[in-house]
Amino acid sequence: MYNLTLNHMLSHANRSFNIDTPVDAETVEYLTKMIDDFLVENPIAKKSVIQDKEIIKKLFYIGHWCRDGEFNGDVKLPSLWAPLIIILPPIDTTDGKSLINLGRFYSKIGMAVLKRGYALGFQNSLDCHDPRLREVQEYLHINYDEFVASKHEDEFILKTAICIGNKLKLDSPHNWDWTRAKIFESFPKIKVDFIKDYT
Amino acid sequence: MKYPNLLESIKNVINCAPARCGRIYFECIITKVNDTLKIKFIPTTKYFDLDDRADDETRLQDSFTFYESHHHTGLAIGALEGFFQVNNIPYTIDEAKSPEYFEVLVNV
Repeated sequence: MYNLTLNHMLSHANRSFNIDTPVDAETVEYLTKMIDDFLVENPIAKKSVIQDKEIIKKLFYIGHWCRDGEFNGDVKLPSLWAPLIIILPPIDTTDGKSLINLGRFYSKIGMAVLKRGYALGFQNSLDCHDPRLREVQEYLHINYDEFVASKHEDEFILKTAICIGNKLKLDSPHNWDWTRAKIFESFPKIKVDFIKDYT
Repeated sequence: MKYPNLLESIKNVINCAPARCGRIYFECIITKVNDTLKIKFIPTTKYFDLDDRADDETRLQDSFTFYESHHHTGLAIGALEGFFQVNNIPYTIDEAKSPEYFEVLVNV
């Protein structure tokens, strides 16, 4: 009865994008204006709209979930290999209201992207032990050397990337992983009663 | 009722909001006062702490968990806003008590 199609698509990260087919210029312009308008009204984040394949390649190589202090792990995150990556790093990571509003805006961008027929994936795992972060620091809005000097063990960078593009294989499921040629197994939500209906 | 069976769809939308590794970082309390549905989103880590899988992530620093819990709460609110917009259902947001909670109000 109600249309939940976009919500179900928003729920699942697409894992394989066609990086050689850019997002069309009109959509990039639309999203950029949407972000600029939001940030004028809510100056709560920095902005990076990245289409440069060399920069995306560097982000891809530092994109994995690292727990052991090593870098350049062999498990890469396929979603980061996308023709358009948007990162809006929060300015004040201790301001809960701003972080909630930034999350709301991420979903708004996501819905806009999906309405335009593109695939989408949110990704927030960058390896903070990897010194190659220095090469993309301007896109992450950090000073890598200052970050390393001030961070404590196992600290992570608080930035979520929005990965956008066409699916690599149009008829593949959202979680088809081109780096391993198999389905990317996601964790199911834990089964707890977190929605309380008192109506 | 202007929107029959809306409540079930709302719960469905909230349940499938984007989340890293299936984490749940907020509590949602739905009440009805007169003809208004009130959907309250409260950031919390209490479900994260219940999750056995979190054992692997005990070294995540508090600032990351704080960021993620609030950002995820926002993702869920935004997903619900998107649902209302797609289905042409008017709603309002009450941020007066944020960041303790955000409330989405729908006249049904």
